[in-house]
Amino acid sequence: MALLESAPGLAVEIIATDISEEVLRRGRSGRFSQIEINRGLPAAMLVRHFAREGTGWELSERMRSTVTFSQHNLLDQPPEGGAFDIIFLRNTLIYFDLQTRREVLCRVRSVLRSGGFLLLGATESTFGIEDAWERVQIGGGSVYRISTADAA
Amino acid sequence: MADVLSGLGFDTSQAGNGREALDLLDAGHAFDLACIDWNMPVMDGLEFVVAVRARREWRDLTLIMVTTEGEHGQVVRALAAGAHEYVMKPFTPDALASKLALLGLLPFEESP
Repeated sequence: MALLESAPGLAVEIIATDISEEVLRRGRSGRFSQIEINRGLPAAMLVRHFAREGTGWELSERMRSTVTFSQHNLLDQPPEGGAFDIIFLRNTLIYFDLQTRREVLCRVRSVLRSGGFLLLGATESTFGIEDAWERVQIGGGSVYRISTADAA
Repeated sequence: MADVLSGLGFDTSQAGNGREALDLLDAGHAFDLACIDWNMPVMDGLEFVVAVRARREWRDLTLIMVTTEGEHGQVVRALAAGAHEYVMKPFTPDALASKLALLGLLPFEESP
């Protein structure tokens, strides 16, 4: 939503993956409960991109059409789609042990274009997992980028 | 509502309707935030928002509708009248906290 609002002509493709078919099904529906909608979504974006659906809200077709959902295990080969500009991997690494976190981050790195960004959860960091990343302060938060000293 | 805000670190005052709330503002107390229900006697929430937005001296007052009314058209009307944000009841304390963080009234905190 933020991308298309700030750059309306931009061609945006989002690939959303999860290991759970149930989560994918919910994602594809584009439906959110009132509790989910209340949280962290500016009301101005709500009225622009969602319509009331029963007791919940449904994301507009235009927004939904930018997202493809597919099942994926983070320990498998990364999904098709070529090098990504931005990868969101938020509050997921916390569920893995250190070795698994390393494997996952390594695979993420292999499909992130140089100069592209990795977004982790607010309390997460690449430090202690892999040295190949550098942190970039943006606004009140930080994102990660493949360290330019390390770019292959 | 007042309990949730106190829990987040705010000092609060309460008014039973829009007219009483305007009286509080007119009395000169400096408020940062008004959380407004829609359905109130005497002066409802939308009328209150319009009244606040008409006064330059209250330009910096943040206005959040907190109401059971949740139709798309109502959110549009509230925002068009000048409300900054909209929270639908029932809501959880962290929903309100996240809206307040969006408005710069609280720091961002995340739970997974």
